[in-house]
Amino acid sequence: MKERFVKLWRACPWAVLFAAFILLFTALDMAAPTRTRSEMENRELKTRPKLSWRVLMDGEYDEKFDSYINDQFVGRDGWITLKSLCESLLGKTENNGILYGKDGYLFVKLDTLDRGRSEDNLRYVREFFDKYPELPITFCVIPNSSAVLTDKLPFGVPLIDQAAVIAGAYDSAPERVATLDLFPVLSAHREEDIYYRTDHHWTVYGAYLAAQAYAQQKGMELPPFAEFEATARTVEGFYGTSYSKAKKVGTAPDRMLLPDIPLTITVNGEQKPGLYDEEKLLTRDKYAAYLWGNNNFTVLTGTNNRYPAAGGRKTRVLLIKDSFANSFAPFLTYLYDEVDILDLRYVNQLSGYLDAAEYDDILLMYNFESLMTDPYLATLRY
Amino acid sequence: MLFSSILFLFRFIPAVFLVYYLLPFRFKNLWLFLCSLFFYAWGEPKYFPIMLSCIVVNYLAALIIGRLERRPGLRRAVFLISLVFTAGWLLFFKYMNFFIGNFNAVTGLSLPLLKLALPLGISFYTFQILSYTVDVYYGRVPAERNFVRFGTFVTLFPQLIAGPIVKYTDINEELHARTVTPDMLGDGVRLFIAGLGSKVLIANSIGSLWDHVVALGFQNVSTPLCWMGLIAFSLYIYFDFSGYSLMAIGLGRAMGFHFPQNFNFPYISRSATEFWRRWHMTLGSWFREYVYIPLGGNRVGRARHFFNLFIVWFLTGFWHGANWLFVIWGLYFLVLLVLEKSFLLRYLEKSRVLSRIYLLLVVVISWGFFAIGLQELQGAHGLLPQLFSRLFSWQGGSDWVYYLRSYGVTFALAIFFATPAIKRIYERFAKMKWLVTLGLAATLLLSVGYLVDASYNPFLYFNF
Repeated sequence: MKERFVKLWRACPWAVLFAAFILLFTALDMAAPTRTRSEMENRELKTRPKLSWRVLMDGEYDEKFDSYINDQFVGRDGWITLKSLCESLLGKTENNGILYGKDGYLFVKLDTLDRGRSEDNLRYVREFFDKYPELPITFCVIPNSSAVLTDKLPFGVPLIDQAAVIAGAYDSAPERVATLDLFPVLSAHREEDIYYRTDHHWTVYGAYLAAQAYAQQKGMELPPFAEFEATARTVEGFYGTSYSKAKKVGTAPDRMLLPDIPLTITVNGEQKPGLYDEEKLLTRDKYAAYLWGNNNFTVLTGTNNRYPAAGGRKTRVLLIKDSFANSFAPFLTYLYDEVDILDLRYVNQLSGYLDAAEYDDILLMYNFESLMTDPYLATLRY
Repeated sequence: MLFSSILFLFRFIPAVFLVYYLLPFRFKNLWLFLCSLFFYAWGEPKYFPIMLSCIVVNYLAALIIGRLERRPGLRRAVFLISLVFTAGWLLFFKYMNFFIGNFNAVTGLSLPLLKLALPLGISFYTFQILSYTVDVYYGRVPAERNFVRFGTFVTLFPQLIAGPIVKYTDINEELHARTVTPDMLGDGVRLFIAGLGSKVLIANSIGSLWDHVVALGFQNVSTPLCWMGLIAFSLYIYFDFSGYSLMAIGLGRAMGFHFPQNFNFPYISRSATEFWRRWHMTLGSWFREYVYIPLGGNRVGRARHFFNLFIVWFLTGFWHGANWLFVIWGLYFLVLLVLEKSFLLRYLEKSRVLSRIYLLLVVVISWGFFAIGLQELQGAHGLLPQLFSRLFSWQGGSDWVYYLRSYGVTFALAIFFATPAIKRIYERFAKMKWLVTLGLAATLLLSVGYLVDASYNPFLYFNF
């Protein structure tokens, strides 16, 4: 036995090392505890799938078990870093659908549209406009960072012309629906930090610029940003969703700004202790601190409103939105007494909310990517 | 279960091989048989019985054929029954909807299509089983009495689902007695890691470019990017297929089997004729041995010879998928072979450079039919004219600059590894064992990294 081993070692040392490597990592992997969440990737990891006859016969168990073993593999984060490092050495300027831009910007690579889904979504939006002809609606599509910070993109990368698609969507909206074009204001400030580098969202400053543009279109004005900045807290070490996908080695983290806006926040009927979910600031998923993440119905009230209505009537705005608006919504309290916020992902019927309350304004606000891909926009019709 | 998966590397391999090496020889085949059945049933539980029925029917048929020396009529009947039974499953599952669709198109009827998924590896194991029964019928090899041994031959997990197509006569002696020398084990590990790297590091990396181009739409890309996409597919399919074959050969070698070589640097060929001696060699030799020669080969009249060639290339194309584009792909090579035989070869032999440019051009174009065929199997249609009009009518643009920058190094590496230069380098340094070890270790570690963060790891052979 020993003799044969020595012979093998002399003839082909790699075979011995291969066996040792496989056995060692198999043992380590089986001994390692199950992780349910990856902080690095900011997502839930697959755990051992349940075995049932149906799942087994459909051949699903194979796939599920495969991704379970993959997600739980010992040293997962290190292996991922190894791949990312190698991809960079190969001169790749993207990984897992994230483009590596200049100045540390990571961009979501929006180069194709699911035509069926995007056309359906734009149709749902039009049906929504037609269903409520009497409501004062403003429609706003937030361009994604790659469409605004075009000078930071790798040369030649073919992406969807977001400006053209958004213009088309605005053109097809009825006359009475106001549209808010954010390209002029965002492009004018493209040299400032209006989008995160490691996350697909805009920064608080980007959101403020949009809120100011909205206010001005309505003939109003927000306080200058310097006032918010002066009282804001900063949170360092934010690695956002784009980083979680690309896992690019050597990426510098973003800084988050948390303006101190005095208001009362009620999420699904429950009043929260503050504007921000402090616990989320301690995790990887820091953006979820804004507005306590995505919830079906959130109400902001306070005494910030600079434009009170005559006779003490409360003014109200309804914001129908995705996660981009989470850092945007608090600014609206300077324009209205009450800001009601709906996230369609968690709402079955929109008409109930619209019938129950009178709104001075309704703002339908989505970022381009989710307007094209979100499967929940159909709720606009109900 | 893919070979290129964490599950296979860190669960299946250690369990199977540890027990395999510890068992005495008389149990080794049984263990392999059981492991192979598990391997197959794990990925394809529903159609597991179909493979089993093929094994049982052919096992019994061969035994009966072996005993019916004196009754040629009955012997022939048994042979044909087993042939029809075995090939019938393949025809039914793989081609039934194709036939119905064409029948509908011709007659204007609208017979409903069947809801069928292709049983995993059916194109490969059917051909392997057929080689056995045919050889027994023609008396080239005695029938196998031991059911486990026969079952092991058919189900042998390394080559069960993606080839190489191992004929019974390739390994029948090794099924009876085999040993694993240290050198065989070393070769096995080396080939396996080389195959894993081919698939995970090269094929998956470059293949995603073709998928990008398809997703962008041929109308929306520039002509240079369109060509880059098709060249990426050409490299992808070579490294994917040959990588899988290498892994199979390596796994087999580590258990004492010598599977036949399947690829021999096809892209350095100087004619389509030579290309097919170097590309998917086991498929070519199967068709030669079990279709072309039984039909009479070239020892017949001119018309009949052409007919024989037509059948072989029709089937070669059709074997890859139930779609006319694969048939066109096969017949495209028939046209090239005939042209080369009649006059072109003489010119090709004169130039080492021009002949290779010619070959690469015609092969890359052939992959256009093939790749669109794969897209059509997944439900796309009308892509072929779009692809070819973009390839051959110029459309400028700067999109290719980005992709050349992003994939340039990958392209260069893939092209380098597709030439025998890599083989010469290995042979030169083969004596320096630590260098070989270092290269293999790097390949293995990177492959694991790419598998853990796998965003693109397709399995092509679901369609075959």
